[in-house]
Amino acid sequence: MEWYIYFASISFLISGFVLLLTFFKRVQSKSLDFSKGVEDTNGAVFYSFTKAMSPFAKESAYLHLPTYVSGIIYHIGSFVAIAFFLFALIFPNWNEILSNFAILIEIVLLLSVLCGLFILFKRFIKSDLRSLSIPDDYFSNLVTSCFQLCTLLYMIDSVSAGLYFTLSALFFIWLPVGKTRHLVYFFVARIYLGRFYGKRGTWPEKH
Amino acid sequence: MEKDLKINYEKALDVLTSKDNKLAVNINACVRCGLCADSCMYYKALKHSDFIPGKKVELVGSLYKRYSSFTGRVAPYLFGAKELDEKSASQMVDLLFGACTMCGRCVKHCSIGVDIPYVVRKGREMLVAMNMVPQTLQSTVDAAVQTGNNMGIPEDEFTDTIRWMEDELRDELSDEKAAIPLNEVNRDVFYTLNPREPKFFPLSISAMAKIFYAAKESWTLSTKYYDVTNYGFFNANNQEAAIITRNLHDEVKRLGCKRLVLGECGHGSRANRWEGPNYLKKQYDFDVTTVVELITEYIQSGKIKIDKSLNSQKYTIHDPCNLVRNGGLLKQIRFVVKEAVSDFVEMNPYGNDNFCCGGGGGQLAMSEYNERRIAIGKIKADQIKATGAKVVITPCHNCVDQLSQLNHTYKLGVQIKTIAEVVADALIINN
Repeated sequence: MEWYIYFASISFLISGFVLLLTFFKRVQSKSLDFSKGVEDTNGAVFYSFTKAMSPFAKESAYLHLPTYVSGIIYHIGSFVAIAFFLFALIFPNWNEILSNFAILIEIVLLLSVLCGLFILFKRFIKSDLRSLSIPDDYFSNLVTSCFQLCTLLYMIDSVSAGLYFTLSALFFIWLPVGKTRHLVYFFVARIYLGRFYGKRGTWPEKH
Repeated sequence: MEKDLKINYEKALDVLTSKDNKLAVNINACVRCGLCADSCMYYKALKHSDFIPGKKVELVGSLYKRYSSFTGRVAPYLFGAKELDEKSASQMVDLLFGACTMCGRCVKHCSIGVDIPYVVRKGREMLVAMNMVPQTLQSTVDAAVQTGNNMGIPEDEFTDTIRWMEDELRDELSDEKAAIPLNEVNRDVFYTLNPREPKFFPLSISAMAKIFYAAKESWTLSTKYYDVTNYGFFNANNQEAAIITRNLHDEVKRLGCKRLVLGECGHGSRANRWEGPNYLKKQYDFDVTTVVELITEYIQSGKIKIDKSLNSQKYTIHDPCNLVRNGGLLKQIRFVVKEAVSDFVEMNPYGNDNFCCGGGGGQLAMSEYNERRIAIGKIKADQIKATGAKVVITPCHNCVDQLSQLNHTYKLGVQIKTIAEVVADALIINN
């Protein structure tokens, strides 16, 4: 096996380990809640990940549809690229297995890269957003978009396996370090939110 | 002087411990997408990027990263980590105290679900450590700690007001036995008030007394600790918040009452019901409920009868953030109001999506931000206008105060009433 495959595999494993560790470390609330409310908040936590995430439930979605849709596609693209990485790692003959299905993945990745660039462009040109941004916001977008683009180019045989796996390794190293770590913090934040609204009976919303 | 400042900074930075999982999660989860901007009254009304809720998270987050994260220490520029200095501290005062009602509307609409008011409160805790709480807000807390109520009303003045209201109640009900009990022991209900009631709105006390009379409730008020508010929740001084909480808790125990009923006050209800046990680090061994839930019980159990035709004007509800979005009482408030009025219209948006009145987060106590408070209140004023309602009902005296000011400024021509007042107006009492 080539060195870059080892490099990418180890990076992926370390990244995954750190992210999982972060999840289990942060998901435990350190302070006890002595107030008397709804005891079982699991329904509210479930609601937090389902109906509360609906684009109809959040102004951040329905007031900003182009950005919302771009964000969704961009995130789908990231997960697809990660899934492909694993697939390619396990099955070196991935192109034979995927066959025509590969085109679908390539289209998703192309759209995703375009959406990533749109989000990056928006951050550059909108003064409100620029004033809120830190260098990590731009850098993390570039790292993720490069990973997706490189995956696409590798699939259409336009970059070498060495470059693809090396870039993938760098992406996985960056994943728990940069803003990209919200991959884990998003889930923990929604669990906290479900517990908060659940205890008070705000969620699940009853209509 | 410089040494004092350094000591204060060190104390402030203790708040940012990486052991606080909730703080770490909320700071690290924010992706600075800026989509929260349109959910915030300050940004919507004043259109300045400083008022984007995510900016407030980043303000606290930049310090957290600098002092409590490895990456922020190693590469501060890349991760937006910043030093705590005079400039950042004064920016924190302006944005965390002066530009946030902690209503939590941004939380529900955040693309991630970041608990922004939690981060704001942590920032306020840092300002407590640096002795930088606005004096106007601090004096409200000081009054509550020193006198037992946030307006510093002397006990004899309070007692006189209650006796006056009791006389009024007896006249209205033509019953000499009608009473507003004071300091009675072993009653079922220990009732609390917002000090604005004895000071400015005593009729809301007699309205609630009338409801208790109709329900034949066994209840009492304390002359010493009756204040439902806790501005320690807003100045974020947890020691002071705990003192205020303990005073009320111990008074309920001293009088041997079974149930603490929180009067019509949004933040007071939250501070006593959801935060209070945590300030005291123990579960209460008596029930804690809000007056909205109590009236709901009275209606559902048939303890009181009401005739909605007695309230025939067009009514709307202003949902206090700490009772509805942060308190789960959306349904109960609507149940009571729909039972008590014949013509009701919702605001748009309402319920868990409703906009704050603009007076939350301690804003009403901080006169230096009055102009801002009234400016953001235009959103609420426009909401009220659009309903065409003649009466706005809100179960929160802080909201009543802010809405009354908006009523005057934006010439809304509406009446502002509490739930107890509306229910009392529709009560059927057969003597």
